[in-house]
Amino acid sequence: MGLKLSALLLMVGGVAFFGSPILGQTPPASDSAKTDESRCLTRSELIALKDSRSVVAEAALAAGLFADARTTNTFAATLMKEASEQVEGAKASLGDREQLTKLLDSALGKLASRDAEALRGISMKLFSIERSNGQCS
Amino acid sequence: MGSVLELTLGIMTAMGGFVDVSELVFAAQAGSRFLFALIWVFALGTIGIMVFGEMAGRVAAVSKQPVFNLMRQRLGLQVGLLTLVGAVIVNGITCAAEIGGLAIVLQLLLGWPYRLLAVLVTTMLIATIWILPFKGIERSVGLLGLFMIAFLAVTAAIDVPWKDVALGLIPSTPRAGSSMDLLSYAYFVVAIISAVIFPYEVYFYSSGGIEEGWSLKDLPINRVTTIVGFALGSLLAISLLVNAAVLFSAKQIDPQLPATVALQAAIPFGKIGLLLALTGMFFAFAGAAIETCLSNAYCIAQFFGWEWGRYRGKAEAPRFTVAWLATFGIALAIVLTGIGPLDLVEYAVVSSILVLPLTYFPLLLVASDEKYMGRYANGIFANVMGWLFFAIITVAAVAALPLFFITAGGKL
Repeated sequence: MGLKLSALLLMVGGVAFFGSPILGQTPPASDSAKTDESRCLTRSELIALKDSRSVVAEAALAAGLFADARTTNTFAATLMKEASEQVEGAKASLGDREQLTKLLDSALGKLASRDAEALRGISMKLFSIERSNGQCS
Repeated sequence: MGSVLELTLGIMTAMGGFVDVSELVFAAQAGSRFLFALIWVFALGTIGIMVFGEMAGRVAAVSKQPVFNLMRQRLGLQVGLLTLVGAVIVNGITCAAEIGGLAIVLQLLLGWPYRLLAVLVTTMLIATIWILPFKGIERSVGLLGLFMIAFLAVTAAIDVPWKDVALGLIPSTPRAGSSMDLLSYAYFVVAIISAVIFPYEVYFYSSGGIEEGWSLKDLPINRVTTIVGFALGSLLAISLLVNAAVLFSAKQIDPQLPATVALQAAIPFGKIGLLLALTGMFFAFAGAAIETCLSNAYCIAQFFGWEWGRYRGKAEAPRFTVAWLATFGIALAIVLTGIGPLDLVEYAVVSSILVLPLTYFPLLLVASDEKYMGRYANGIFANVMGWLFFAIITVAAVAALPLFFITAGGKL
């Protein structure tokens, strides 16, 4: 534990005082030569994926609670609208990722119908893609 | 009896006014992302704000000088001006984030358009400062912020692994993870410290001491309020983290929507819980919006030597009045551009940490100066704690920007 903490402090120190050496070591992610879906996600794509995965999961939770009469209609409608806007934004950032944009299109439909179960499933799929991209770094 | 009531109200006000939109967001995201591993940072930051808050209140009571006056004297005109510019920017962005948060809370309750609600909320805040005396403002929003206790009730109602929570008080790093996870963790450490020790809190607290005419007899109240009130306030923030770890983490939620945090209360308590949580959030954000706005006016007026203070009345301190009105105007304009409150929170927290050392350095110098403070100068304990926390915030300030850019604000 102590070693890990020291390593972390050293890394932060390194970044702070010598620019960003760690930035140089990380993501081969961004400019991989692989194509389309098998290609590693770029930094901005990964951020969009993580954001949309969480937003869809948040919407799933809200939809489930609304179905159980634990939130108001106004609250659920406002949250779904906000979630839709964020998913649309993420979709734009993931333009040429067919699998991901299809999933997000599907999420947009389920947000409109407040389908908690389907939204949860989509969120899990997005999470699994996110995890598999972890092998790129 | 009167002083007991005063003390109780002071503690409750400090507790109710402790959490703002940045603490709410970072606490929930920290719990979702790293479970209980960041609780110690909230505890550490709370001790820091206790140390500096007590010092600022003591200096105000003894010298009748607020923090920004001293800053110009001790740092000189050029560095003082640099600090002023930084503080004004940070306060303005934070005020905008609070107004955005308020508009979102009202939107969740009423369903009206966001921008219209931002305008209505700003008008309401202006009316509050315009009409109420200083103590009325401080007490009303601080006490109404106690609705945030709804989140503590959630912690009591859900199944919490208390042993893990207790272990979270010991500094550690996440068990498994990539180097990017560790860097994100480090970013959260810096951001939470910044969010808990926001500089506006001491500008407002020390200026408030002058507004209320503190004297030596108020020193015990100052000490108890900062220690007990901030500790209880910190419990609220930690409860948000614990709730998020238990309720959100396994669902792959890293709250991106402010509304999601309120859902913590809907899970065990349904619509009533949701309503109480939203009410608490509303008054917590309103209190912070007023504090950041007035802090801006205090900083500017004190730096340039203008008449200042709500106790003087608007005609006696016209430039001070224009300064806080202008702060609200600019903050509203930022919100109307469409930048989301969560983005504003990120910018506020990162820029705030850069201003922190410049804020607390002169305070430490003055509070430990026996010629200036006499027998009320810092003792050994206060000096050691003060310089220790100064070292911590300086390291955090150096690391803040690189960590922000590398981790994309903790998103990677």
